[in-house]
Amino acid sequence: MKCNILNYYPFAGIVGQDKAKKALILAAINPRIKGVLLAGEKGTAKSTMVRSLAEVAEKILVNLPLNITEDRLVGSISLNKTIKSSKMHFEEGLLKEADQNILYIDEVNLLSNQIVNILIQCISQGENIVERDGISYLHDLNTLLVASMNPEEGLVKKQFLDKFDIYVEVKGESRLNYRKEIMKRRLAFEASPRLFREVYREENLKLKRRILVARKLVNNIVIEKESLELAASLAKIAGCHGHRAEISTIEVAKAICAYDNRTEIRDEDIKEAANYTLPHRLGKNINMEEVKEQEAENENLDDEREGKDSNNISKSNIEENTRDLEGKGSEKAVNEVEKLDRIGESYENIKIGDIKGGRKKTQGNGKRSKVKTDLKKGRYIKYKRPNGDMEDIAVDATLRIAAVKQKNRKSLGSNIVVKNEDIRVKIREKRVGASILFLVDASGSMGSRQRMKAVKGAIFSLLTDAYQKRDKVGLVAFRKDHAEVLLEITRSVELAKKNLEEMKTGGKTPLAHGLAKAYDILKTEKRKNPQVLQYLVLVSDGKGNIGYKTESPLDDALLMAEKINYEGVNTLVIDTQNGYIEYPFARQIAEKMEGEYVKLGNISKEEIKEKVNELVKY
Amino acid sequence: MIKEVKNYPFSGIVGQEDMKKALLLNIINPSIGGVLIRGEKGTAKSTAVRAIADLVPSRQEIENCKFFCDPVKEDDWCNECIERFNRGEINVVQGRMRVVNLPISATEDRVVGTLDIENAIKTGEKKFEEGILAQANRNILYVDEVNLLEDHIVDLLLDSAAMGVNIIEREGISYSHPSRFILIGTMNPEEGDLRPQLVDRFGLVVDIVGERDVESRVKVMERRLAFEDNPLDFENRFKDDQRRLSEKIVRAKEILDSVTYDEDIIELIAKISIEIGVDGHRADITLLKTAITNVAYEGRSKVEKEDIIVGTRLALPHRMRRRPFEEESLDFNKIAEIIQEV
Repeated sequence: MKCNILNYYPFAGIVGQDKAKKALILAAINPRIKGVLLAGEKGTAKSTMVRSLAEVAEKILVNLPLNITEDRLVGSISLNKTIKSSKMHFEEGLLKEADQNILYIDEVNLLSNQIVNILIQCISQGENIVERDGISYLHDLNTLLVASMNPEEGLVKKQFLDKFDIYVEVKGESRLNYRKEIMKRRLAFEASPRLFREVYREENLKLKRRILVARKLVNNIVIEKESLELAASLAKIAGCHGHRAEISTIEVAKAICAYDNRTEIRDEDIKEAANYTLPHRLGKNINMEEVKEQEAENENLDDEREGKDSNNISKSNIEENTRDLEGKGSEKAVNEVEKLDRIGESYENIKIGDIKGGRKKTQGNGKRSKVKTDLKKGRYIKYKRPNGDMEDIAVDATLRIAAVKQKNRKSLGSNIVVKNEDIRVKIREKRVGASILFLVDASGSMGSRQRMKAVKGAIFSLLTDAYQKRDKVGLVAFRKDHAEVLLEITRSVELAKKNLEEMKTGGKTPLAHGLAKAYDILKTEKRKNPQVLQYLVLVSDGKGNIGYKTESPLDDALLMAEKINYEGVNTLVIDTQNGYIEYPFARQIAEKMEGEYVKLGNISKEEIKEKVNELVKY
Repeated sequence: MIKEVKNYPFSGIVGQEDMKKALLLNIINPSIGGVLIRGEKGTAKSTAVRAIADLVPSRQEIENCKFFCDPVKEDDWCNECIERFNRGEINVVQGRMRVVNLPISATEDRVVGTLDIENAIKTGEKKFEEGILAQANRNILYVDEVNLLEDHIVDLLLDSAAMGVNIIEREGISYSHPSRFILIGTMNPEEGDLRPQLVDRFGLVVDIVGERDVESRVKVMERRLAFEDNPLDFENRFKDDQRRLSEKIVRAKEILDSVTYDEDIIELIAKISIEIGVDGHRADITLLKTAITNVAYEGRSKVEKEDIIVGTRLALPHRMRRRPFEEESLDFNKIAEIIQEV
């Protein structure tokens, strides 16, 4: 039951989403366009569009399921044939099926790192090279890679992102009539897919033909030097790294031109193409608006220099130009552009262990959230030889390895003899979240209430963001003569709302108690979940004035700080002292914990959140 | 694992009208997309789910089909049924919707299915061993404590729920089979929230709390004790109610396709979604379906504003665009205003 194409929603019947639809069509026209990434909120027809595309593009849609294992992706030994013939038979994987077709990955940001790396390599090289299980094999890989994702759920690795030539942000429809139409059509389709498809058959066919014609035209398009210059110039203004940006711009421009039934590229084609190819490659602090403005200016200068009598470049016509740039009917372009700034920013290199004095325990391959675990939980991604323990056996790999050796083994009644040396065990990958424990000074010193309020605000904000990273947040407050757990480490915004409704302040500053409590909580958590990454954020001015074990409050606090450090917890001290005389206490504690330190006089929830984000390197 | 045990009768559940309605509407019209029940412990969540299975009318299945394929819907048949058809071996039997449990400790191989190891070792042949997603086809897939489920298992549920198919490409196996189920999940929000992507996939969401007034609480206790004391007697007590409810469901299913709605109903729904600010379009579509199904449930023939209200209560709250620091709460006053205007 390979997805029955007869039940697909017709491409021509999709309401709105003009930019996304065009992007897909362009990619179907020009095989040199390597990938399309559709990013946007849920329920916006992303997956539907791609499935429908296969029909009008006359290609097979190959789905890449999230749980795919390497062997099925690249291909591996065919167990059946190998055993029967005692010779190695290679069974092709999904990538072979995808050659000359469409490879579709839904929720691509959830794909395992392992698989992403393989895809990056194969797509770059344009071929799939297999060297595994005693097999050596190679085949071409010319595929249209289409992926969809919801950025709320996490982003895609930068190198992977660059493989996508086209990036389109997809949003819900806010025009009333369109919205109504979407509902009507969806219900009509579900009531009878066949009848519904019949309604749009003509249109779909027309589109199919148009694409075919365009495909042939694309090869005849001649690129003038000016076009190349324009593309390069746009990419430069946009601050794109490498050269993929301008190359894709040209290829997309070719497709635009061909789709419009022409063979001569115009400047508008290039500019329209840039809307598809540049947004996910913007340099830091640059947005598409600036790119367009800058380009318009450049053109002005060029024309003035050459004394050209251009019909559409003049100061008063810059607005018109900008409209041209946005492409026909793509009113949403500006909004999309603003949002995309965020994407540009989030792609700073994330390096753990970059923390000051950081020799903290870090795990994983630089991406905080994924850790190869030894426990039986998590996605099976690879296999390896067992280190003594034969737990969590990778049966498929074991059998494949045994299969090849059957010739020289005496059968003991079963068709396949498996020996100890064949056994392979699974390597699993699991998403590991962070645990962030706030330790806050609720004593009667100045600004206590404001502190608590700011921390509470930051906690809500962090929890709200916590979905994609599966992070947890907790809060311990200390005042008078003890420390109190106000919020157990949790992922639940509900619980936070409930427990942090009211937070009392006042009294002395039992800093050491606070640290001791934090230490206990963190230690207990670590016992339950050895893989967790722990962070402690201390918000205080460090002037602890109640002793814990000894008579010296500061010494007690430093002692606890040392213990916390020993446990490998990543820490941040937010020093809130605000007076004329600067006390070194908070800094000393930070040093003892070998963590980060920052001084914020009047703290706000935004500042706290910002500092914590830096600490955890979101 | 499917157990046969005396279930507490659905009609005997005290209060919890929204939850009961959400479940009933889904049974009548599975295309609504399932229910997520969020609530504190001890509020009859699991009880209700198990109970609903007893109300479901019987239906036709293809004999011996692991996926309980529908003899009438050839487009959805599994490969084996297609082969059976070609050999002229299609036999139709009566069956019933079952509740298939997905425990939170479930591992991937048991959920999607995997290489039949025994078979592989004995015959050297690759054979597919079905998992829970196979058993769930045309049934109810019940996930208790769904927020505690491992992330990548949740991803798998998403994939299948979206497409109605389970596609397996792993461990040397390449296989696909129909997997169209009513997803019912329960969770306690204090133990952590669910990924927005998964929440959106649930057609309806119900937030429940324990009964507040003493009278109801007493009723809950009385009934529970009576049930545990003598399940058979208790069952008899509600026999008529159960039968009436069953019949209501059957009738609703019959008239579901003939329910009508005006243009202004669609307009109203679209307005509400835009005003309230929902993510994507599932909200609208589900709201409409819920309203339609409600009409069928009540034995009427046309969608009215009251049905929209039922729809907004069940289909909208979990689809609000999340703004930082704001409560994810539905402003019913605003909705009432919009409805008045039309």
